[in-house]
Amino acid sequence: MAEALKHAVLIVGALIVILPFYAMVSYSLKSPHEIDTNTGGFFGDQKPMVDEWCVKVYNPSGQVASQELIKSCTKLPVVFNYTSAFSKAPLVRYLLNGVFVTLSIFLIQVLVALPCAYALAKLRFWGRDAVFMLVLFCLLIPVHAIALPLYIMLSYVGLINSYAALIIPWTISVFGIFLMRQFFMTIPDDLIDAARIDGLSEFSIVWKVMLPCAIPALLAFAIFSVVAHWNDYFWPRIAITSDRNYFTPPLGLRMFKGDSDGDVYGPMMATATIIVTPLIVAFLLAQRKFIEGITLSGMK
Amino acid sequence: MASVTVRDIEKSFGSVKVLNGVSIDIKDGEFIVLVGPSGCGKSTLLRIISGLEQQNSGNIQINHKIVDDLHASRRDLAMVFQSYALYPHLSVEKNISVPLRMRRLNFFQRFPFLGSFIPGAKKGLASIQKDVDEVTETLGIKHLLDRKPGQLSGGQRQRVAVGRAMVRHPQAFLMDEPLSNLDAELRVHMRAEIAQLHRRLKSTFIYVTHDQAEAMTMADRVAVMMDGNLLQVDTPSNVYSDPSDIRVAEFIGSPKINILPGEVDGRGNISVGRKKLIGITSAITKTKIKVGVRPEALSLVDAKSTGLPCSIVHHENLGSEAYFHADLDLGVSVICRMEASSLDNFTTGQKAKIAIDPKNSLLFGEDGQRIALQASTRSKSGMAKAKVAKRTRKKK
Amino acid sequence: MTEQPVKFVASPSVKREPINWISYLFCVPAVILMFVILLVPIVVAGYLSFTDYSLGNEALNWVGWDNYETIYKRSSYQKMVWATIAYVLIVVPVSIGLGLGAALLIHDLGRFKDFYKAIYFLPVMAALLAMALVWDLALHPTVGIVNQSLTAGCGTWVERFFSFGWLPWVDASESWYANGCADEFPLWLGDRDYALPTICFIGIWQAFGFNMVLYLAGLTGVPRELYQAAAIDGVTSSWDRFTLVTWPMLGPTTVFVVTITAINSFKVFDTVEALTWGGPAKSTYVMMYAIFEKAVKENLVGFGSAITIVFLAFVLIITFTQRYVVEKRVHYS
Repeated sequence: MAEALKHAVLIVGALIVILPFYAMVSYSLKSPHEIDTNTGGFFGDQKPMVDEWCVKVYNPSGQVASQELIKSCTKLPVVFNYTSAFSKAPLVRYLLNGVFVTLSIFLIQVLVALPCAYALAKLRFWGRDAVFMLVLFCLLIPVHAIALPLYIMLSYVGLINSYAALIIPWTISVFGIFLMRQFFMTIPDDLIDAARIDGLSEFSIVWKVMLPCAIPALLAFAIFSVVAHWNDYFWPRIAITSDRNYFTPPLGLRMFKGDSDGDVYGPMMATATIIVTPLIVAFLLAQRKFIEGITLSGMK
Repeated sequence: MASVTVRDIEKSFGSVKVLNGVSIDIKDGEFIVLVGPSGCGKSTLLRIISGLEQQNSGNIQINHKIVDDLHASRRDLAMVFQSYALYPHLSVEKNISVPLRMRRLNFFQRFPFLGSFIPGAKKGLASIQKDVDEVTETLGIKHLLDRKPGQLSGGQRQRVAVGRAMVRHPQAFLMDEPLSNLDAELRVHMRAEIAQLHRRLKSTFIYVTHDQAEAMTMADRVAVMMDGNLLQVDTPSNVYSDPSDIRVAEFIGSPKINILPGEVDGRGNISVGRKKLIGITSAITKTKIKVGVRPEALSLVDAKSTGLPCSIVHHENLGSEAYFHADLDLGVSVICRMEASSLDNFTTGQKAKIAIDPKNSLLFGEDGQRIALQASTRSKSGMAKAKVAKRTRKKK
Repeated sequence: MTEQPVKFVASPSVKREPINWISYLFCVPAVILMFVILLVPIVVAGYLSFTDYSLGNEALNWVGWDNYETIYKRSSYQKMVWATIAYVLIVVPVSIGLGLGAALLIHDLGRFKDFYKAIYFLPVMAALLAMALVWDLALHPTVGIVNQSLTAGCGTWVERFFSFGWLPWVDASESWYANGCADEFPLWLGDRDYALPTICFIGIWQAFGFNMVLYLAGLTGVPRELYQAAAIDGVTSSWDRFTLVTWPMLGPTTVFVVTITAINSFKVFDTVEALTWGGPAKSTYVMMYAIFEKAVKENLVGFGSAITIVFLAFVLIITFTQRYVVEKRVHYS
């Protein structure tokens, strides 16, 4: 009985949580008319419709369009929505930009953080405590908060509107250093000493001994980093002021709104679905790993 | 103070049966120790008595009243947990007062901050304060009242946990391996302290441990459990010298009892490796048996004497006494406990013989059950033992 | 996600030959980047906040405290601070309450535990901007699914139920739902009274799954023996169990969750930028958006820097409070 009540409450909550996802996918399937009138259920009627934009492109003079043109521009709403998502804006390019930026950020973060974390955890040198204190202090600074001066500095050196602008502020993950250091602390010194006796250089130790050891922690960190930067809208919005070539997926999506006449909703929701889907699918496949990764910052 | 009766308790977790019909009568004021290897069901039994776990069948009586339907909080038992389970956010004083607050204050009086303004709260709090003071005085932890559990040593936490149990004068104390988190030295000390506490409180103690030394030193009676069965309930000395089952004999005593293969002929004469055990005859005839001999009932003799030939493979000098590990020619390894002076005569690598003290030999059937001695050959002490052996067998 | 400090753990002092140069080599890139990307910008912002600097304008005048004075005195910036604080004060307790509630409900559930967990966590995974646009459409005054559903409920049992006329002390015709049916349902994001709560709602919708997961992790960390000890000590009601064991044991989790949610809420930007542009009537004019609007769009860099500094001050106050509370109160040792 108590269990049933719990389920009832949880299901109501789940419905509210799911609602926008449901609406998003549903809108992305429907014709503009169905969106306006909120009809057609989840899938819409999928009655073929005329793509006005398509007609306009092929018939710029504005005369009465030929039957053939209208016929070739008649599509199912779902096809219309998803094809316009790709044709109205270079969505493929945005997606590739997103992948490139997200992966670059992660790789550089690891490249910078791993050796530093290793040095902080396992090497002794003058100033180590100072470096660690610096790390602890920098943990307090959210990058979002200093976005403005970063923007000023980047435009001062002429880097606004470039991949560099999207990547540079995130190259240093203080949190990554901290996390990896804590992880390396748990690796026995003997392992490193054994590697040294076997003749490995410190460089090789970092990449051939510590990196493989750190795979579980790195995986969690990768999820943390990729999710944050794939979804980030704030920094790209500031760093990319005009050049659409460097748009990331959220920026591309944002362009649908603003010049909003009702017709755009379908393609906009199709774009949103396309952007959101990869992470959601990955999450559903590896739930545990993702939750672990995202809540990393909460683990003590 | 109360008696506790356990009747035919059965319990399974899923398909795994942990208790197969366990019954014990625990007398008022008795200190009983449930002992057995880990996984034998002793902790489950304790938790069923406490009400934290529900049995599948059978019942629990406290003072001859069945309490099966009573929630743990209403059985008026106190429990000391292995991890002490102190509330880490409360001071020692608050920790000890929790059981009283829950019982003497009502819902509103317990309410944080505002509670003390509710009528009656003042009086309740004062009475609680008095009892807490009394307990902390007895346990010698008065100076720790304001500390948090995290600031205490293992032994101090142990005392606080006992204090929390004592403060409401429960019907009985249940203790679940309370000493296992302490280091060896402190464990010996706390062992004595708990035994003294029992003598002073004269209350019923049910104590669970896997350490047979704790069981032997503290208990009025020891209940040996194995694989969900209660094998024997008896005084420590009887459990040691008169075990009803070979598993009990093997579990109790350190070093472990030696088990030698033996045979009984048609007239009940017992022989081990063709050497007859003189002075005892078995009640059962013409069978193979197992002969259990405690290390102190074995002695090394020189190779020319009569005994079972063996070679000494290792010896340990403990100062006051010595343990010899020997491989018998009949293919069994034994440990023999002797006076330290025997080290002058025997050492590792030597050939020697082992002599068995027949009077202190325990006979077990192939099934592990104790075999009684024959009436005609009974010595005075043997008579008593045989009776007990018979009685325990009947019980099964 | 804000990156959070975890407890300081000292390195073991191992005696070993110092391998100096390589250690420095390992640290140098990180240290340089920390300075250039994290510390120098703070100094730059601090400096610029006392000037009237704007991009492309070489001339730079020292204006002293003028920018700060503007924030302090001009009503639109007072509104900015209040809107931000109001957003934080709504989102933090509600999303934490819901997160804790969901965690408590899910924690000792027999089945479907992972199912609910996954669903409630979905919003955390999805790009907030995308979901904001979906909410925008769903909350559209006329075609939105929310208002259309509400309208569809008018005159049916839905209205009768949610106008609460079945409660003896409620006048159904005065209720919110009945008014909505009679007149019209709110414009949500277009209404100055509803805009901020609606933005808050989206923030809560997005954040509470994250809090729930942290609380679930916290709950698995509560030793079961404590609940058993409580039962033996005479605790029978779930309220007593909660106040005596669960809530205190979740103390460290709560402090952390409060901090991280507060900082994340201070950073709210995506929803405001995409849906309300700070309006209507500056009712959703939060600090992050103000920085963006003033400094990036209107090129008032000096003034934007001043808001940046105020913002940093807020964030640092929260983190230091957390540090203090953690050290003083919740570590229980």
